[in-house]
Parts: sequence; C-alpha cells; structure tokens
Amino acid sequence: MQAATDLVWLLNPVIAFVVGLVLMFNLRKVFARVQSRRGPLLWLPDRWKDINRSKLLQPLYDIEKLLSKKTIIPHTATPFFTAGPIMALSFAVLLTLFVPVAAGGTGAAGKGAVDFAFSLVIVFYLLVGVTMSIIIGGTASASLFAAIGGVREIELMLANEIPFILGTFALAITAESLSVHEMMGFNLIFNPFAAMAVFIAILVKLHIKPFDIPEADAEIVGGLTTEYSGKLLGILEITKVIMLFALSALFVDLFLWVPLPGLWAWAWFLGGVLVVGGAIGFVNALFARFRIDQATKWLFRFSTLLSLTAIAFALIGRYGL
Amino acid sequence: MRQIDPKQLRPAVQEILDNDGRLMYATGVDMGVKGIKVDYYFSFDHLDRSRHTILRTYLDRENPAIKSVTPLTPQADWSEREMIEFLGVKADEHPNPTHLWLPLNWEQMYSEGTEDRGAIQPKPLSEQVHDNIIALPVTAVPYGPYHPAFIESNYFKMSVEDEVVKKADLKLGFNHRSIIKLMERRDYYKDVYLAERVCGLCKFHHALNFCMSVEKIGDIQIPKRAKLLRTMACEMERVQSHLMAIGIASDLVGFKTMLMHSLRVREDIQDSLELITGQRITHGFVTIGGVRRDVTEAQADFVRAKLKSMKAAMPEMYGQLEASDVWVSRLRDVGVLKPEEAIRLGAVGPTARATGRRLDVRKNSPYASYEDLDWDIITEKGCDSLARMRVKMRETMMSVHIVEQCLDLLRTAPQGIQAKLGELPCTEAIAKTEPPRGELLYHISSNGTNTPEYVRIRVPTFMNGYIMLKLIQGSYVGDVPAIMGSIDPCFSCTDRVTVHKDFKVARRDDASRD
Repeated sequence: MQAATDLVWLLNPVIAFVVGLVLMFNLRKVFARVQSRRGPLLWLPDRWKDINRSKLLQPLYDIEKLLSKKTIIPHTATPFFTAGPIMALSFAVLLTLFVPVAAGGTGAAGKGAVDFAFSLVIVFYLLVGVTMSIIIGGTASASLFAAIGGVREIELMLANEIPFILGTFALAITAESLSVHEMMGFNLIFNPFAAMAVFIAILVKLHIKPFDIPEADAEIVGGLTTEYSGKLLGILEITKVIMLFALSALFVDLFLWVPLPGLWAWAWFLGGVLVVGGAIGFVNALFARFRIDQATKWLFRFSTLLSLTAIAFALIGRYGL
Repeated sequence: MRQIDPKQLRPAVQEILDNDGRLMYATGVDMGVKGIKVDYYFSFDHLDRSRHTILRTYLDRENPAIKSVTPLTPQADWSEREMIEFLGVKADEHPNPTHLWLPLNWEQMYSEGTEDRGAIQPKPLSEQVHDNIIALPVTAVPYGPYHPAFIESNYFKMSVEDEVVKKADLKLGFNHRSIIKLMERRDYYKDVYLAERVCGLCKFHHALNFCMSVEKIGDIQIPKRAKLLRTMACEMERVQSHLMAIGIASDLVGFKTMLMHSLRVREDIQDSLELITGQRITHGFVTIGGVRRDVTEAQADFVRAKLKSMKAAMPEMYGQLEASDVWVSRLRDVGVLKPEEAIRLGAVGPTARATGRRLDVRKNSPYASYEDLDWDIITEKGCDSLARMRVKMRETMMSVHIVEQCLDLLRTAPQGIQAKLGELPCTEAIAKTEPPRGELLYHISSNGTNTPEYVRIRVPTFMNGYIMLKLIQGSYVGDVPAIMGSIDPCFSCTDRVTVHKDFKVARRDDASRD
C-alpha cells in the first residue's frame, strides 16, 4: 500500500497532458481576446452550433486530427526525421517526472515528483534534450527552411541557457541544494530578479512571440517543423502541450509556491499554472518578433545581466555583505 | 508627343532624363503593316503641372530591334523585358534579358532560326525545366510560388550567405489573366468592370482611371457632384488599402495582434463603402461620364459617424504600433532607399514620399476634385521601412479629412451625376491617378468603334517591385518580409499584362505567301 502511493509521480505525464491542454486553451483564448477576437469558446450557446463548435477541448481535437492524418516523409529525409519527434516526446515525458505537481503532502508521495539531491541538473539536461531532438529531427528533413530554423534555434538556445541556469542557481544558492523540491517556495519576493530571468528564459524555450524566430512563419514557413505532417506533427504538438505545462509548473514550483496541505495545494498549483499560462499568452499577443541578431543581443545583454544580479542578490542574502 | 526614328531613341531619352524627366513606362503595340509601335512615356509633372511626353517610334515587324535604354536608366528595365517577352522586340544591350513573366519552360529569350518566326518555342513540360532565376553555388532560398509572406503567388528566389542576401530575383506571371487583351474585345462599358478586376485593393482607381481616359478621348465634362463622389470613393479606398497594408506589414514582422486590430478598424470604412456603393470589394461605382449612384444625406450621415469613430481608433492603433519597441526596431534603418536612388530608380507613391520627395499625382496632375479641397502631400524624411509605414499612417488620416470635406461639399453640390455621352472619335489618351500604392497610368486608343483599339496599363508595383528587389539585395533574410511589407507590392496588378503578339495576323501572312 505504501509503495503504491509512493509511485504517484507516475501519473505526472497524464496530468501534464490534461492540464497542458487547458493551458493551451487558455493561451489561445488570451491571444484571441487581446486581438479582439472571440477565440475558442468555454460554453457554446445552442444557436451557435452551426457556426462555431470550438470549445475547451479544441487543442485536443487539433491533435486528434493530426494523428488521424497521413504522414508524409520526404525522400531526402534520414531515419532521424521520424526518431526526432519521438525522442522529443520521451524527453518531455521524462521531464514531467521531475517537475513537482502540487507537492502538498509529506514524505515521498507528497513531493509530487521524483526528487534527487541533484534533480535540477536533470531538469536542465532534459529541457535541452527536447530542443536538441526537435533540431535533429527537423534538420534531418534536408529542408532549407528547417536548416535556417535549426541554426536560429541553436543561436537562441546558446543565448538563453546562461540566464536560465544562472537564474535557477540563484535559488539553489539560497536553498543550499540542487533538489527542486527543497528550492520550492514563494521566491518571487525573495529574489524577483531570478524570477524575471527564468520567466524570460521560459518564453524563449516555448517560442513565445518576441522569440518565435525559429518558427517564424512569414520568413521561414515554420522553420524546423516545415516538413512534418500527420502523426509526426501530432507528436510534436503533444510535446508542445507537455512542455507548456512542465515549464509553467516549474515556474510555479520555484517562484510562486506556498506549502499548503492536501486539496489546497492542488488549488494553489492549478491556479498558479493558469496565471503563468495567462501571462505567457499576454506576452505572446503584445509583441512583434525580434530578428535573430536583435534577440541574441538582447538576451546576452539584458537577460544575462538580470540573472547575474539574481546571483549577486542570492549571495548577499545567503552570506551577507 | 514626339515621333522619332529608332536610331535617335537613345539621345532623345538621354536629353529628357537630363531635363529631370521620369520614365514611367515603355510598351509596344503590334500595328500590323505599320510595324511595331513602341512608346516611351515620360512625365515632368513633378516640375510642371500635368506635363507629359511620349516618344514614339515604329519598328520593322520582320526584325524588331531597338537599342535598349536600360543602361541609361534602370527605370526601363522591366518595361523592356516585358517588350522582349511579349512582343519579340530585340532590345540590344539590355543588361539582364531574362524571363520575368513567361513560364520557366520557355527557355529561349529570342527566337532566331525557328520555323514559326517570332513565336518562342516552349519546352515540353514533361522535361525537367531549367531554373533560370538563380543558379549559384550558394544557398538559394525560394519564396514561392506559394509562401506565407506573399498574399499573392509569385516566385521569388534569393541566394543567401551568412543570413545576408547576395542576389535576389523575381519571377512573375502566376496571376496573368490577359486583361488588356480581353479589353480589346469588349465594349467600353464592360471594360470598366474588367479594369476594376485588375487588382483587389486599388480596384476603384483602376475603374476610375479607365473612365478618365475614355472621357479624355470623348472630351466629356463630368458634373461637379460626380467629381466629388469619385474623390470620396478614392480616398475611402486609400484608407482601407493602407490599413490592410499596415496590418499585413505588422503581421510579417510577427505582430499578429495589430493585423487583427487594423482589420477591426478597417471594418468601419468597409461598411461605409458597402452602404455607398452596394459592395465591399468590387464596387461598380464609377462609370464613363460620372458615377452610377448618388449619395443621400442619410448615407452621408452614416459615413460621417463611421469616420468619427475611425478618427479616434486609428491614432490609437498607430500609437500602439509606435510604442512597440520591437516593431519599431524591426523597421528602423531597414531597407533604406536614399533620395537620389529613389529618383534614379523611379520610385512612386508612398515609397517615393518616404524619401522626402513630393510626388503625388493628386497634386501634380490633378484629377477629380482634388484641386478644390484642402489637403497636402505627406512626406517623411526617414527613407527606411519605418518612414514608409509612417507615410501610410498619416495618409489615412489625411484621407479621412478629404472624405469629410467631400461629404460637406456634397450638401451644396448641384444634382446630376452623369454627363451625356457622344460618339468617341478616333484618337488616343493617357490618364493618371494615384492609387494607394503610387502612380497608375492608362493609355487607351480608340478606333471609332465601340471597343478600344488597345489598352496599356502601368501599375505602381511595376516601379516599386523593381526597387523592392534592389533593397532586398544586401539585407538580412529576417528583414526581407519587413521590406516587402513596407513596399506593399501588388503582384496581381503587375501581372495584368497580355500577349501583344497578334498570332492571327501572322498566320494569315503565312497563308498568303503559300
């Protein structure tokens, strides 16, 4: 009995997918409302049945549609073309096991995830793994747009990893631990610089509007995913949904977490995830797209400076002046 | 108009260019026995009001050869390539005689030694066609024939090194519908509707320009009320086209929110146009000798209310755009067109006005009732994509101002919206208007029947599209959509051309020889 509740983290991927779909809906709804459109509907009046049937589960329907369609594999593609999305999905699923979900209880079951003393480092590697798999799969299609998209993705990743790692390490310094579970807390007050740096890094990782350069549709027709279709594109969409959840949840855990018991923990967690998802949606709607050199320059200057400030802040807080 | 010998062409063109003339267009017409008539249209209206010159020369049909004037001025580049492709005129010393409109399987430019004299032999489609656009050993990025950055289909290819575009070339002709040829076979009234279908965004100007040319041929004086209504419709069209252009340029640099908002604002002017003309896209409003419908006072009040809400909504939207640092930084110092380059390449419309040049047909060769209204040409000094967008933004505000004046003047304008028409004499006329994208030229020749003898159209993108290619060369790949969005090209307009060669006549000649 005890062993069964200890294994509750095995449900994390399912939770990630289900809550991820709600987050995707939230993102689209916020995006549409800012653009003064209606967007997918929460509740559908009967008289609109003939006009519009998009509802809460619209992101799921989109994925279902893709999975039911024929997959076209270009004759220039290498086997990595099919392996890429599957690798990306498995990395994303593994990632969810390490992101605490509503860690309200006590003991191993209450942590909401697998936790080691070095789990933050595992999270870093899994996040890079998702991106790298998509790059490998995309460039294996031998499409020109995918090649340009891949180059841009790598440039962006190089500029983005430093602020992300430094920002989270600032918390690790405060908590004196590399375990995600021990770093959790309402760190938004204790280290706002780290919170900003990590939030910007999450935007880049999710390709949210000022940083959606690798998949700019007006320039390079979707970049890395240009040649994907059908089931492989469906797998990539599932990866996107899970990543949206995992990164929002990571932000809630690291910066917005208040230890609460039982169901209150769930309520706080889901509320926090929705708020972070809404913030991401707002940013997505309110910005134009950077050019790649502008984005890397901006990340190297502003974001890195922010994360260094966060480190200094954490050091002063921990060891004094 | 001056008629000259083909050998005298180059000195004559040089003389006009030295006098600061603009070469607007060059085109040819197959006149049968008289040979191929080639016209070079020059404009001096930026110096003197409504002053134009046409150089006309006749070429031998058997061996139509001409000295190219493209080495003198690049403004003639596309015009002469058009003549080469559709008329078989040999433009000697043309620096870049490659295909622009014809399909890629038409390999030869000229057709020496073929049986069917004159006709270029297309390769069978089953064979692999030779891509004659760019064949360099570098990365070649294709845009098109279908690409999200273009609303219309065309084929645009760039050779790229380190994200910098080294060379760019364009292949048009995907929207080719032979409209000019169709016009020659229909009567004048039907041609008005054909002209309206040349372009989806400046349709009213095309119809108006056709009617203005016919009115010049028949020397028809149109009533004052009709003039005001025409001006009003023109300006309303400018507002909707510019709002669309601003939105699409924003979308191309990734600002989808502003595309949606510009469409929301644009809906007001579309509603007004629908109320006045009955349709949202093709209006069928203008006709030869006037307009087809009058605007009642109740309709005018509706339009006034809509304009009032737009006058609040548009500055708000433009303020939001200008406040977006990312949007501004994507456009500032991107695609810089220097003022002297703009003059040399013959920029028209907002592209020219963004370099500080006061070039606007509405002031330079006034038509409709622009002379009676209070307005001014909008210019910007920035020369970059941002300046081009700002010109468009300020022009929409100016257009709303003009429409309001028209509505006020309509109250006191005498009734009567159509003039009486007589017979059309055997003559020809050119007329110009200023659509949202720049200068539009129509040349119509009548032969005393109810159909025009020929119609020639020069659309603004003909000049600006050429400039767009020049600006793209040397820019970053990421800047290409921003440049395209700010120039706002309309390829359907540019593809209006037709096959000039009269194949029927050629075949009859063959038969008589046998």
